[in-house]
Amino acid sequence: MANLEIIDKEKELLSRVASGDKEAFGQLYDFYAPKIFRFIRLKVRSQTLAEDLSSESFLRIWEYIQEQEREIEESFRGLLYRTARNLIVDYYKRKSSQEILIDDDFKEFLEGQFIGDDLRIMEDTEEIHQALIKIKEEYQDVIVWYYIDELSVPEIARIMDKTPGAIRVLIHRALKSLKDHLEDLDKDAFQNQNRV
Amino acid sequence: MDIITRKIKHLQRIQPDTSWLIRQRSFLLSEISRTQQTDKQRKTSLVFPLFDFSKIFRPAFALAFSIIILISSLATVGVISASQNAISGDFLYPVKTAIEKTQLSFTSDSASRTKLSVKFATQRMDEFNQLIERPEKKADIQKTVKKFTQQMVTVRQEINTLKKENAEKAAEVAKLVQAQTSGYEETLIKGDEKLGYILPGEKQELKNDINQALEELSKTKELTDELVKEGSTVPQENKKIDSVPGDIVVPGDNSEQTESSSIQFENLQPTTE
Repeated sequence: MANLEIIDKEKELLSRVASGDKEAFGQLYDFYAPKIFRFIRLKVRSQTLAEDLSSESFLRIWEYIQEQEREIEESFRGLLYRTARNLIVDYYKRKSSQEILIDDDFKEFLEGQFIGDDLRIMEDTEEIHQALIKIKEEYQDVIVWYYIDELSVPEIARIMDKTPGAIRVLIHRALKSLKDHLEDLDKDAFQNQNRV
Repeated sequence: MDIITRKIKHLQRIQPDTSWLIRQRSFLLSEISRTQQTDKQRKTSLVFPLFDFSKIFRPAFALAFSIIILISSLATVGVISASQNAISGDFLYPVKTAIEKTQLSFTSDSASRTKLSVKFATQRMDEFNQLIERPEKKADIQKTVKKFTQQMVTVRQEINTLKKENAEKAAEVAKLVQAQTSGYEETLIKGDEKLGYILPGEKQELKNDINQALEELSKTKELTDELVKEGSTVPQENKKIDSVPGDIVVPGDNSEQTESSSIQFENLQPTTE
């Protein structure tokens, strides 16, 4: 679907959702659930947590839309990403005072996703993910939105409440930071190999 | 940087488990219905004193209401019958799926719901067969395969529910489902091969969906095999005592049944070429 078509369709569905049409909400879920799951899964280490937060994001959005008395001007996608992002932040805040004991099952998850693929691709992907989770939260967000979800700069600007110019700078810095972390990981791997 | 961005793009392939997506969808919509119902009850209790329901039952109102229903029914019958041959992407396809949903929502017992779900799964396979002849409808092929996967999940859920209520009946229904699985498998595998030939290099996503469908199908097959095996260990005498009119006739089963109570699963086999 072309971008404009998606926007029009989304607007139509959103107005139906606002009037309580759950089937329209189901259609939005079908389109966005895989994307929101991926966004969350890349930022949290546990599969169960990613699934719970994805589900919670949709429920929160439904409640939010039903509570609004005026027409919602923001895109559904924008609302959804913002909600998911806030939920992740809230989750880690809640847990910050306690010890977080979550199984990091990302590697196993990735193996399941890349069955039958070149091992090299899987290793590259795992390495990128390791570097990604080490960079600043907002850097992670712009990288996922710009390179993986392929959102436009103005759309990211709306979600993050910044100017498009600021987003371009942020993307540039995020990529630089990711590159630095990748180099660090390579250095560590090289040193470990030498030690062995 | 190009190498890094290319590596980042590999992460686009991360996808949630299809069965989780389906389960989650049902959960979300049922949660929403529950909250809607609570809200409605609250609103109705406020509005009810202002509205006189007895007006609806006056003869003039009843006659007008009947005429409206009759006219709209006649117009709808044509659309409904025309929609039965629709495939994903056709104008009338949403009508077809809406009718299926309505049929399911009006069916309360798990045995009938399972039969209906199998019937719909067979329809999805028929549609799949038609769609692979039209590779330009790649997105619709994907949607159809996903819907089939969803039907397989529903079939398992219903059988499991039925198992808790009546293990013997569950075994009988499982036998019917079991009879369909190899046909589905063949259709999916043949379709996959054909699509590999028609759409070389651009069917990875579609392949993943077909693999997912085969996986769900295999889980369904495992469940039905297990139930049929358990069912066959039940003594024959008990079966006769427990069976009630309206039970299902398994194709090839010679036990006495009325024709109206049986379901014709032979006709459900998808048409493979």
